[in-house]
Amino acid sequence: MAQVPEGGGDGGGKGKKRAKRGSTHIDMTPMVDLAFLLLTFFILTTTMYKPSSLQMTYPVPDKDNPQNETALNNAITLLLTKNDQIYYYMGEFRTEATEKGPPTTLEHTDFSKVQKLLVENNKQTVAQLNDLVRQFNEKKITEEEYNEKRKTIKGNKDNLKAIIKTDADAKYRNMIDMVDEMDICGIGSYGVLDELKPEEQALLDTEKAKL
Amino acid sequence: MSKIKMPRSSPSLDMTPMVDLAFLLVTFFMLTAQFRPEEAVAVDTPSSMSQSPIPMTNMLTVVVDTAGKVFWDFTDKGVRIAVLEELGKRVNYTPTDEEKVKFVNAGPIGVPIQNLRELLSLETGSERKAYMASHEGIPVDSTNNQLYEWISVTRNIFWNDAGHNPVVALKADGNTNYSRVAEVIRTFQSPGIQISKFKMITDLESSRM
Repeated sequence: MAQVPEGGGDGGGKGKKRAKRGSTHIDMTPMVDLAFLLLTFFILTTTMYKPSSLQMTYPVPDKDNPQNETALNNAITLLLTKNDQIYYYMGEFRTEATEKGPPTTLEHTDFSKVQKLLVENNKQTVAQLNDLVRQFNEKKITEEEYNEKRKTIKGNKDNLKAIIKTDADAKYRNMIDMVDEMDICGIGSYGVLDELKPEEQALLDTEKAKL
Repeated sequence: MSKIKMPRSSPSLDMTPMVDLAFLLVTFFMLTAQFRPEEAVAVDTPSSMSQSPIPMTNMLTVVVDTAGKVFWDFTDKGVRIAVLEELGKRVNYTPTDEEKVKFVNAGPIGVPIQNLRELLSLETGSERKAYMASHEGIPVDSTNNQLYEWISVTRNIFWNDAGHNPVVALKADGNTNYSRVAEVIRTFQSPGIQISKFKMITDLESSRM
């Protein structure tokens, strides 16, 4: 309790004399307690709200020039579906065996394993990027050079490309996670589509039924 | 003699500077704290590694909640009022000054244009929130794409004022079906507005890697 020493505690005539002599200081301990309590409360309850954003660039659909699906040899197609499951195949989709290979089958993976898969298929680029990061950290190159080189490495035509396709059960979170993986694994060219080809859908449905 | 005097002087410290400091800090924290506006829509954004910040002004946000309801939001007052007036004209609705104030402070708006009058006639924020919860949100289907109207009106007004386009952001709940988000993205790309660059609002990821 804050008390002004007015001689209440001691009582008696002598106490009054002492009170006059004593300073008019107030015991500030409780106030300090309170102030620090408030301070601690504010510091502890403050959560820094820092939303960030992913910059996305979607190509404006060009009706006259439908997507050419050539140059898919070095591409991975990732089909995102329900329960955070991922199916994928490499290269073009083949409904039946051609000279290029047997008909396409879907492989199964999920978000804990997909990073490893992508890095394995994109070893060269990842190695180059890691090397670049090391150079940058050792201050051998400037930030501008770093950004420039990073762009060049990621833009290399022979790199792994990715096509992310989502079916009706995929969540928005899956797509964001996948785009994130693209960044982590150094895949510079990727696209997001929300429609599967009917033959892909059919294959996916049979795989989903096995789950 | 001095030995007798010593115990009389109390051993207490002068705490005034400490109190000053403590209160200074308290005041500082209280005054600089910006309260997060109560969100009319609960959206749990997914997390990503990306660290690019989002602007606090001149930003058009399209919000998609878990259920797939679409909301419109804009950061700046003047533009919000102008948008309300412009959209009101299409349904013969002239908002009063009081309703404009409500609209400015309402945060994300998610009702069909024809329901705006009813929404703004409600008194409290919680009533409006409940109203939006029980209605369908801004329609995005191809036959009645009101989101398109909202975006094109906002962009026109902003353009006339500032001479450039506002930043467009998409804030969707992580558990929304992607197909719903894709409908919104298709609206962004539709002829007439053709937004190909936009920001997807995410939380900063802390635990992974």
